[in-house]
Amino acid sequence: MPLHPSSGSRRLLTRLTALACTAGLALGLAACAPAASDDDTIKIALVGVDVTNPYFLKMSDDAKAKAEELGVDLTVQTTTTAQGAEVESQQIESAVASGAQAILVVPISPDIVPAIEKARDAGVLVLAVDNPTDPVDAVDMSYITGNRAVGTQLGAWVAAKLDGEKAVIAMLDVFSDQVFPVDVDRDQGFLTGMGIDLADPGLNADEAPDGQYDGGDYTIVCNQATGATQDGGRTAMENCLSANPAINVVYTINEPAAFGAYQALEAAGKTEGVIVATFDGSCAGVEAMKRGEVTVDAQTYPGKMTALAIEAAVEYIKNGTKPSPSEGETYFNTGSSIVTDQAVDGVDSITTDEAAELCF
Amino acid sequence: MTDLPAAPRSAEEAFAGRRRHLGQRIQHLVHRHPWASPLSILVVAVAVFSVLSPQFGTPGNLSLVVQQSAVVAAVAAAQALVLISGGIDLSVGALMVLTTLVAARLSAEAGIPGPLALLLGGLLGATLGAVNGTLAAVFRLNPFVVTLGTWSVFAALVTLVSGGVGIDGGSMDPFLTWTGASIVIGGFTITVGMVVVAVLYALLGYALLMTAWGRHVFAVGDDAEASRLVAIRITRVRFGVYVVVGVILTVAGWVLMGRTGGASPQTGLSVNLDSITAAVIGGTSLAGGRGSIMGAVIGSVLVTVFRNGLFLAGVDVLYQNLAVGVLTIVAVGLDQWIKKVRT
Repeated sequence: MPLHPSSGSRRLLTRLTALACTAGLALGLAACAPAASDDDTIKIALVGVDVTNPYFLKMSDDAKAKAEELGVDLTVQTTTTAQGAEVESQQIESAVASGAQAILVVPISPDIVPAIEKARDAGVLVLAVDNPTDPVDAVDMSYITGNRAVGTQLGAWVAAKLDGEKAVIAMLDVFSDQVFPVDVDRDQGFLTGMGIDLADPGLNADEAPDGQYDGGDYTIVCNQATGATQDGGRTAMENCLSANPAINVVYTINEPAAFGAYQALEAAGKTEGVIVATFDGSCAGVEAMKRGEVTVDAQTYPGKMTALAIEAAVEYIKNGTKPSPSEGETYFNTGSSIVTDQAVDGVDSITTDEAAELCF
Repeated sequence: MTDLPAAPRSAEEAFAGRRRHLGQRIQHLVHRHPWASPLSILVVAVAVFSVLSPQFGTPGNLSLVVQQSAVVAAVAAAQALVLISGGIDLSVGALMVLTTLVAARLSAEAGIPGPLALLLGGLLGATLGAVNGTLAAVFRLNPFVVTLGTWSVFAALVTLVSGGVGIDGGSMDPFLTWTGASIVIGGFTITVGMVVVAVLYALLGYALLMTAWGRHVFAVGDDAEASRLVAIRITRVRFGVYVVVGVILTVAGWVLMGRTGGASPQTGLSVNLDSITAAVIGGTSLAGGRGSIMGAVIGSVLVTVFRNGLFLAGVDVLYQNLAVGVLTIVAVGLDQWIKKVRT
């Protein structure tokens, strides 16, 4: 019996069919792309949001709302933290190539600065949102929470709350193998607020494991990476608890990590007397606070960042007004509030009910 | 009466009775039982880390290590299956998350009872696996490239289905997060998820080692042309493998939901690399035709043991990555050496 005499030509046919399908799909998608807008519509691009994170989803949603309000053509490009600077740089370049007049970028690492410089050289206004570039003036303006200042407030609250009790601290960061501005600012700000000596204020995890904070003794048990996700937070907290079950202060980079950390605490039966501190202030976070899972939360306003940035971009494109920073700062501070139902002396805070009005 | 001289042995008998030196003996052992080398490394690692830090060997910590590896172990089982058949599946993470999100939404929004929602998720998993199978086995496109593509497609569907928002366990049938429930026996915490993964391994192991289908999977991966000559329908076998993978991933997703207490579009999308690492460390060959499901679970536990053990020993994080990298290289090197079994 001949061994499939037509196998060669059948393979060729299959390959050609696949090729034709791919080409057809590509052409179809290109045809479905929105028609080029007329020259009067302002084009703005938002780059680098990870919309699986509610924080960035809010940023993106409010940006779209503001764009619609002002009649601006907005394109949103997503990046995950894992994808990194390579992908984000390409997105900046393709935004410039597509004719964007302003780009809002969530800087993922200092490696995107060359792409930003190229964009600015091409006359595009570049604004950073959520966290600053390194150096800060690589962009025209930044619309960010003063993460270090907010971290300091959070740390000060924890120190006041502990009231002299020994602090056994778990630090749950985003990364343990990269320097990421938000990560460092929040972590180091928090420790500054607690009165702990920083060694190098530009690096996490280099503090002395034992020492004194503003009210007594401290031990830092661990600096674990969570990838800013819930599962990462859980694994990190589990590992930290294995190292030292007596942890009573948990610093977390954001709410997903805090939720995961709480799960680990609950599974270990160790939720009593543990302070869980986090950032974001989303509605889910406020509810978690009401359930007693999170103790204190620094509420930030991601929607404000993109909305204000788009307004400033439109002002610049229409009237040439350069965006200006907050008074005395190199960036525009979109503000933050400490949310907790356990107010302490010396630190301003709002209640969970008040936060629920402002949350995303 | 004089003794007759012993009858001369046939060439076959002489060959079978030959002496092998130690290296050849090890080579043969590992060729027949690919999981033997990772198991020995695991035993040594657990012993060493227990000595380095007293907290490592506690039942509580060891249970945590197993819990932390459960999801990757399930995905690695699926990956090992595909690798043995001569293919590869890079879409595993996105496929898993997509099926769980759909099952979660069906339960939370349409009020469909948990077991049925999971079953429907499994059907979706099988369908998505069939998509991979059609592209890789029927159209015979390069599975590496094609599943890289389907990863992106499934990940996009994840964003579409979820709108970027996860579904909390509280709003769905508790059955879907049941895998997170646990009992404590003698200091060890055993979760339902661990039991599910163990059952999965038992079933898959049985199917691969004791059924004709399993034999065919190995044969197709080892030598496709020879398999065709003995009338094994290679396209069907390969296609079937991708479909089975889709179902396994739904189970893996169920275990993940128990761990995270809900369905989240954020976690698990990039588990592909971890699953390949675990499968390879466990003795599965990237070239196909040889591998071990048992090895895949050992591989995933081994990676977690290294990370956990090094952390508790106070070693800098970069050495954890280094250790896993070295482990993978050693595993691949071992794989090459085993292939050279000649004598």
